Amino acid sequence: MNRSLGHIPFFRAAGIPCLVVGALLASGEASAQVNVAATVNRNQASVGEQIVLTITVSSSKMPSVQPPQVPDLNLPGVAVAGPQGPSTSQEISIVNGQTSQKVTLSYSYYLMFQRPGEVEIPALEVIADGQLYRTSPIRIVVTKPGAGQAAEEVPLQVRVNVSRTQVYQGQEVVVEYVMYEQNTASARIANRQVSQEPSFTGFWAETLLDARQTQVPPRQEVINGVPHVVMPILRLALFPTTSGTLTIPPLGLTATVAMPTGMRNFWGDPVYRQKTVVVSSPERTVEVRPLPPNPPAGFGGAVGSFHLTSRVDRTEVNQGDPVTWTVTLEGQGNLKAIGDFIIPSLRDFRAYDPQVSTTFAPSTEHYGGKKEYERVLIPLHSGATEVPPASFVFFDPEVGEYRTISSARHRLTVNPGAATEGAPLALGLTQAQIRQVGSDIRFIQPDAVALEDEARTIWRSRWYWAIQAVPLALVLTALGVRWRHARLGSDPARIRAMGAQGEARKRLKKAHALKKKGDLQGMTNALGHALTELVADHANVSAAGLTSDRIRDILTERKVPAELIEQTLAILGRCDRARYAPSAVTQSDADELYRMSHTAIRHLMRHLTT
Amino acid sequence: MKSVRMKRQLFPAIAAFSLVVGAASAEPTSNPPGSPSLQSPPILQRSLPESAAVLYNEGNAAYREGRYSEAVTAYLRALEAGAQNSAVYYNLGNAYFRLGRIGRAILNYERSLRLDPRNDDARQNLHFVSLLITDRVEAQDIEVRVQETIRQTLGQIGADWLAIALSIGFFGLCLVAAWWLLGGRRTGLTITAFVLAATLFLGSASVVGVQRWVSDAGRAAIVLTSQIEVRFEPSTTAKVAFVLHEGTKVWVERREENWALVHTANGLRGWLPEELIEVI
Repeated sequence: MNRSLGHIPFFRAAGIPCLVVGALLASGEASAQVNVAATVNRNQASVGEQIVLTITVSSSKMPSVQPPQVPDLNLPGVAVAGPQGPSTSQEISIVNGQTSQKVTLSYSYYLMFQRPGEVEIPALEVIADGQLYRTSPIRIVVTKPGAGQAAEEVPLQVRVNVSRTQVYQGQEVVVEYVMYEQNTASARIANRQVSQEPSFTGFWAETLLDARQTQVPPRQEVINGVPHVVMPILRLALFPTTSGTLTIPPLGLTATVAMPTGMRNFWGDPVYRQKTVVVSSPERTVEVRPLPPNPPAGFGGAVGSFHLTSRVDRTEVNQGDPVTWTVTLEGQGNLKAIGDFIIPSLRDFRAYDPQVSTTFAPSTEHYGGKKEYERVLIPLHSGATEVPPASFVFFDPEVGEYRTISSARHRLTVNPGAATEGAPLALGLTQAQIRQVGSDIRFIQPDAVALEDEARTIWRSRWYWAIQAVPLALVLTALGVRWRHARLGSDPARIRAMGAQGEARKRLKKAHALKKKGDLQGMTNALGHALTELVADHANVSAAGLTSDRIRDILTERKVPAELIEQTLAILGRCDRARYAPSAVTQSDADELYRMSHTAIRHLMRHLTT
Repeated sequence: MKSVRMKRQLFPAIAAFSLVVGAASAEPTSNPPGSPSLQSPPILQRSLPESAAVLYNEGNAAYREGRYSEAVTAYLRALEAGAQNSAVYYNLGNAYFRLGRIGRAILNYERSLRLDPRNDDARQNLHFVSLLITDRVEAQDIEVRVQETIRQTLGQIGADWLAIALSIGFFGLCLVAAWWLLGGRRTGLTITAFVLAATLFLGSASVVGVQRWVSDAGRAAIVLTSQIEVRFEPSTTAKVAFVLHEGTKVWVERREENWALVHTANGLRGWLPEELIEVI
């Protein structure tokens, strides 16, 4: 019990995280003296008795109070209500003519202890006037009931009823928290609230009844001669998920009770005082036994009491027409964790995917419902056949054994269908959907003679990027050519001169071709034409009007050596003679003339372009 | 007449390009029998040293006999020998899975898919093993989901074929441009060629751009230890933000000393020791 109050759960349950009081004093003045203290009305209490913890924040100025927050606390066995307040008091004193005042804010917590031992309320942090203050820790001694001072009788109790204290794992335990309220003239109870919700560990919990959500009629009961109003607050079906000793946690309740003071007022009426009380149910334990070992095949964890039925929507059917087969499991137990039915092989039917639905129909006393398995079957053969029974395995805790229950077997009369009447039936070749019954990773890739380096992508290849330069160079070249032509477009003479050499070469080729063909006159004409056009292109004049003298002048102007000029004119003269006396040209003359023309054109091109 | 002469200057360049591209598609393949159907363009196929294949086959033999640790060793040695091959990573993932090392199995399936996005076996096994890990992270960030979808879709195309398409489109565009620059007539054929080339080029360039956007190469990593506390700051004393388990995929945003800032598919961010994850 010697545990820090910093873990007490009731603060969380009360929805109050951490206590922070902000005290902002009037602007322009120095901060006032602030005192923060935590006090209890007594340091000793017995189990079931409550004490009041008060936090006071006192200051010489009226502080502005922010919503209080308390730390997250979690300590099983202690219930709390609060904080309540603040209540404010103001004190003004005049000493030697000096006026001083003191303002005090108080927050109250009502603690009730459920276990004997020692509890330490740790230092609580309070922020006032922008400063952090810590209260002093407080140690509380909790004694067993009756060991210390007699507890003040509270006309309110919470009891817990547990249907079984020894169960099997998965077996239903019904737990009911019930409020008992004295129904006497002196007991005045109001503002009842659940301050501590039970938190179940090791159980699967399903709510059967909650008085906060449904109207629950109270009943009257006389206990030790005192009439009581009895009302269930919460009823749950618990299913232990583990074996061992499990604890049913308490439920805490707070209420405001008008307690008689024993005094009477001026008119003789009794005087009451309002008091906030915290009561909680005692902790209970349940012994959970594990299920017997070696359950039958098909056991899916169902524990409880179940029965299995089945039906078909018709017993006589045409071949190829559907029959709906419904298997229903009903009973008490945790239907959310019962596993599946055992469905037999339906080899005489084409079976469609089943529709499974679960309906939870808990009563106020037990948790249960039904699970339906509906499947459409189409008989494959005519004649008498039957739908085999389905089965279900569960553990019956009343007899302490596993049980396997089966549904009925349904006989069907299947009439031959119109489409298949007279058709031979291939027994044993019935169709059914192929279903995968397991899962695993796929097998490894096979052996390899060589492995390809797949990390090598084309993007990383130098060749790839080198190839991209080709089309780029293409465009750049075209651009260059276009630019050059644009630049030279204003000087047609130069363009003509630049093209002269190529034209001369082509004419020489033509002459050579004619010579090979034996057309000697054509050859001499082509040679003369080539020489004359070469000179005309460079001089940008028409070849038709060029005489020997004009050619000499042009070539002299372009500083062609005189010897070459004379040689050129001599060739042209021979070409002219050959034109007029073609029969005088022999093959050897033609060869010599071609050779001389070739040499002359080559030299002329060199001299004319420099 | 002069424009005809100028256009003739294009022929050598066209011929050279056609030869290279032609060689790329005409070179015979040398894939091992039974290897995955996905093939790189033939010009890129380069067989690894024989030792890598030998080690890979040794790993397969060990795997078949249930000696998974030895299989892992053989596959790792094959990788050290330079076998950057999807099948090696896939088989290594299988061997790690048989040894119960789910994180390593997922890492290697991811690497296998990185090399061969059409490896269906690796995709299936990755899906199967991912169902066994502790963390179930569903992508909440719309960008992450879109990127994942696009990555899976584009993975079917193949980066290499995309590069070739891009290159052919670029070449076609340049060819038509050069033709027009040199005074070629704008006939229906050349306009059609231009439109086709432009479409191919722009389409391929867009896909390449999208691939780069969705690529998480060098950033995606797998958690290899059974449990990691991911913290708000790169310090062992920092507050724990969330906990990750083996096999979960994270994306590294940056590194600082031996810590990595990561985020998960559902947008959680935090720092974890770098040595506890391995980048895919």
